[in-house]
Amino acid sequence: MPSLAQDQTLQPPDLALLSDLARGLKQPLFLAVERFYPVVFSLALRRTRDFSASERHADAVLRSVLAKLLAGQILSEHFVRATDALLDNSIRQDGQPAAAESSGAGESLHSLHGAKKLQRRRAVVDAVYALPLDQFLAIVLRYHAGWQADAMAGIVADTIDSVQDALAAGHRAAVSALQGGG
Amino acid sequence: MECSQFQNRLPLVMSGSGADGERNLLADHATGCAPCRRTLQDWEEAQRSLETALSAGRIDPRKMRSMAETLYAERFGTAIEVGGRGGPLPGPPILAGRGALVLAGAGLGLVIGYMMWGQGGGGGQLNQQLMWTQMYATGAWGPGGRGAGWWLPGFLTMGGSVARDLFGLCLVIWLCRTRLWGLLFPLALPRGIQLGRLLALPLLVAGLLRILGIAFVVPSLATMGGMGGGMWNGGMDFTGVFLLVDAAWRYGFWLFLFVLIFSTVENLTLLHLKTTESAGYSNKYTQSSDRAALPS
Repeated sequence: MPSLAQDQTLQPPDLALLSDLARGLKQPLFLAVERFYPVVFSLALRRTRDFSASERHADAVLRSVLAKLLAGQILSEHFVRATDALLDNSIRQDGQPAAAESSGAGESLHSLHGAKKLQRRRAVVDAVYALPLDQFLAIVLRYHAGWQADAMAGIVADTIDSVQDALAAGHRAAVSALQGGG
Repeated sequence: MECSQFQNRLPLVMSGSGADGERNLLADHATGCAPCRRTLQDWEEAQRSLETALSAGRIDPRKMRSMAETLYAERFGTAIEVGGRGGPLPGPPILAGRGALVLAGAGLGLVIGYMMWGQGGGGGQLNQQLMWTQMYATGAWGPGGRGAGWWLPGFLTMGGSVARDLFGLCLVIWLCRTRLWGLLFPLALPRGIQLGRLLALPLLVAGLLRILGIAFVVPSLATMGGMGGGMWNGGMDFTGVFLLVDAAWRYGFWLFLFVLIFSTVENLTLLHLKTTESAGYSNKYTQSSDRAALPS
């Protein structure tokens, strides 16, 4: 079975959601925004490493791609590819280099203990950005969007077990970074 | 619990996939085992770091709802534009199932109806008579006097078939659901009903004028000797106005019907789709409890 992170395809429930959205039904539109906004945000975050910029990109890209779907300009099967292309374009147009905001570079150092803690946290965050796409999505969707593993099925991986594996691998990488940075 | 078991289960438990109480078992083991305690502390610190780093600026559900509302309003109009009480009506669906049959039947009925009765029938005799009068008239409106109205009879005669063909084209485009329909009629469905309301008043005026014209012109023509006779030799302006009123009534009436029938049929189709949607909605997309929380 396919997943968004693995081969840019969606599973039947998500495709059905997008098809119903394209038919102009209201509830699927709300669901799709709820479902895909965190995903697009995570994809943007992976490329920009900037929370506010990612929010801006996710907003613009999802709005645009859903409007195209509603207008019948793209098919639901092409949703992921269109989103990816629009995201690329949006980030390129913005011309913003990868920022260090998310790794806490802006935080002030109050003490030696604080500095050490901050350094370890940075190491963890840097490790997260270095994760493969499925693990990165799993971690961001878990901690930023508050999703459980079952909600990530179809996005991060095809089955819940695979999602849990991706989450565990992400955590393992974070622990390794912590031990390395400590 | 063995240390190896602890090491195997820790990643899964920390990822939230362990059984209830398993975390307590891990904690119990870590209490009595220094290396495992250290490992557990590392994992907990990593989790806290991730929470701290990634929970900043969490996605606001209100923002997502607002985005969906905006997108919907941009595409299909808002409750204010529609003037309805229950929020904006759903947009036009793609033809499917029984709705498609109803829709196609209504479209076919409209075409057949127009082909049978759309060309005037017996009521067209008066028009024909007036057109002949107009054709051979002299004066400001007639071709004999080379006035401005020389084109009017031909235009009105052709206008009927042009309008019929245009309706036919629109019908086909509408049934085909191409984007061309949106370009031709940039009106959302509920606004189509409003358009019908707007059309109603001028249509009523045109219809009343036409009835008055018929009541006045027919007896006068009969009395004054018919085509080209009597007072109507010098009354070409009135004839021209009557023809225009008649044309306005005919075309306006068909436009009115067109808008109302299509809007009604589309609403029925939407109602059908909406009912189907509500029935199977709860378990259609949801794979988890997270996704079961739907906005109303």
